Amino acid sequence: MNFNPLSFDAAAFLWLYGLLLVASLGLSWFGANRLRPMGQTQSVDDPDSLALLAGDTDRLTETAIARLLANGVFTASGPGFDRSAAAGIAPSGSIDCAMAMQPMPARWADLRRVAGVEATRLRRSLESRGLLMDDEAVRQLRLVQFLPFAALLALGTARLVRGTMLGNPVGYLGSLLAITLVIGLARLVVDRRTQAGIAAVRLARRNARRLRLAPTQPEMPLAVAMFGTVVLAGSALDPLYRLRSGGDGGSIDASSSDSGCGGGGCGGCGG
Amino acid sequence: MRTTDDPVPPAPDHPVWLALRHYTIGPDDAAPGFEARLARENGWSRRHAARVFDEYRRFAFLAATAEHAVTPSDAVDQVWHLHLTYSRDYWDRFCPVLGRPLHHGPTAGGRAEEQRFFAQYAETLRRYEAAFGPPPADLWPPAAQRLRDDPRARRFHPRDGVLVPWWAIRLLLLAACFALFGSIFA
Repeated sequence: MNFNPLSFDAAAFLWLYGLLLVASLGLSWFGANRLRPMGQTQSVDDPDSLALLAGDTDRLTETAIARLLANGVFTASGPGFDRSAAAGIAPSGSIDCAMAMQPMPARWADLRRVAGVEATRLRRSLESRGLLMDDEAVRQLRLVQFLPFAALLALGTARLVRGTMLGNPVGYLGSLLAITLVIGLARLVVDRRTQAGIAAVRLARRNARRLRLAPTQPEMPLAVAMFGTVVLAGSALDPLYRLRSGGDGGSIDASSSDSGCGGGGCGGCGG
Repeated sequence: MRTTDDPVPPAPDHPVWLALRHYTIGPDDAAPGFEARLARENGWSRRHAARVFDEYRRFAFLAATAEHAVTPSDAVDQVWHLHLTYSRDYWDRFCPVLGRPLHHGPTAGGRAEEQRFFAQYAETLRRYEAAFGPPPADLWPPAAQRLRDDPRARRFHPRDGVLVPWWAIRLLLLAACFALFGSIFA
């Protein structure tokens, strides 16, 4: 009996390859979970740390801009941001100060570059607290995540070459190889958080579920840190949401402008 | 917009809440009753309508004890709209329980109004959480849905057509793809 998969007929090999692809997904996911360091379990309530844990440098940039807008230091200006004309409003915190010192109007790329410097410092701090992995652990995890797909690609390529030499149709196998390559490359991206880091974000989100629905203005930076700028849609900080979601910044549609009603002590509804 | 400096009274022992928590609308012998009508007009189950009516009681408590305007979710707003049509009950029984007239004010439209209602909705949810705990997410959706998506709902009469849910259309399309794929390689 011949167990050499390279000598299987095309249909049998495709079935085997499909099964191995599923197995590789499981192995990659399971291996990464096993290898991910535990870290040190703790709660995190600092918005900047949460932002870095939940969405890396982009999220940190969004959080800092949301804070500057909410505090009245920045105003939205076309495709970027400008210093508020109101006197006496000063930024607080190193990242906010660094952003506010940029030439105005500042664009997203400028502010992200500033946040990147702060992110490096903050990342080291989170590593020492056991919430992010160090570079060596990241390298190992990347290898574990990618290795199953590399092995599968090697097997598939060998069969592809053999099939081509024998004049067999190899279109489906080629497609599966392309899919494997895409998944494998995607698995090269490593979530740097330790298990404690993942748990800290999950706990923070669970404790602040209301902020995902609609944060009040002082709560907006923390809400952005945990859930992204989508929580700002329709708010006074809507320009930041539209900037990040690729909105054109033009007029809102009729459905949005017609919404809402309220009532109460002096209240109303929205509809 | 006032925010965290607006104190929230504890709900359980507040006299307004004690009067509201078992409040019912309309004559008891009316057919259909208020909740049944609410369920029918919105395509809800009776159980769901009862849950939304519960949220309306809570919203009314927040409205009665707030110093600023409050904004309900779309579902709660439907209860409010229907209640307003029971005008005797609303103005002669309900508002005296609240201790003040509770007027309903639709938006004037535009971005500034949207931002105002966002702020009101956020503050309403903050006060809800302080008084009753976390709001149920299925009845109090995110503000973007509340202000931009929910108002797109329209009245629909069954004589004018058939409503097919999107999930059913997606399922049919998927089944059609499988059938097509199978027929090609059969």
